[in-house]
Amino acid sequence: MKLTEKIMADCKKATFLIEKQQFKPLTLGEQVKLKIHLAACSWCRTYERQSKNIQLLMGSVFRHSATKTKELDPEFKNKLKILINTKLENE
Amino acid sequence: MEKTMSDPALWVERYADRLYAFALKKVFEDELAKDLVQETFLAALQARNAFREESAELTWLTGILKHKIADTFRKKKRRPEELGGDDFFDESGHWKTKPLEIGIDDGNPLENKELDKVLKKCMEKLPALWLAVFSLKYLEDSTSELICTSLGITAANFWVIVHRSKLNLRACLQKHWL
Repeated sequence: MKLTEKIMADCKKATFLIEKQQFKPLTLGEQVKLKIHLAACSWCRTYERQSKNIQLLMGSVFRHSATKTKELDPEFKNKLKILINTKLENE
Repeated sequence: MEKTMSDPALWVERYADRLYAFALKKVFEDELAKDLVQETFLAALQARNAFREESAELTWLTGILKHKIADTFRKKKRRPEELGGDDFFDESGHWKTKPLEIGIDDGNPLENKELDKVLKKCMEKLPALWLAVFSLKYLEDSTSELICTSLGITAANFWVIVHRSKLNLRACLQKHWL
């Protein structure tokens, strides 16, 4: 009984498994622990739902920023050029 | 002599965009990527006598940039007070406060541009290394093992970073989106 009580109480562990699950399949033992915990804990069920949505959103933020500005703005390039030329002149 | 000699005056035109794109993929943040490109050129200027001409110039510069990025990951720990992983749970592992509904489940969250913006702000508060973990997952579809290798972190560290990142992002959204 002690083990089950521990599983029930440990939201830190459960949220850890919720995250791990989104990167790779859990071991059988981990799956069982998470299932037991989630059956008893509505706070972690809320967390799981939100975490998966945040994961989706993060993907779109990353992909969006990847397709966006791939090139440096001309202003910054000019600044770099001036910086390099100044250094060269001072050598 | 063939013109293999390095000419720093041409570096920006030739390589700046490619170095910038490379940096951006790793660190995600625009300003930080720019800083890294600048630091790379400055370091390259100082080291250019050591530059062996048989290795291509871009490869050489990219190598310097990689070092700069690795340095950033080691050093950069922004706003540590906001990132405490154990702030969320008590000693027995219980939530300290209830995770509230934050309204990101209504409709299709992917179509919500405002939510995107808030999340991006929240992401920018995370340390560069933590973001790099996710960036590698999403942009290069890397496995957790590959991510660990390319960032030089242990598997245990990797999972802690993922866990803490998401707890912090959720908390940040609850604060700023709710």
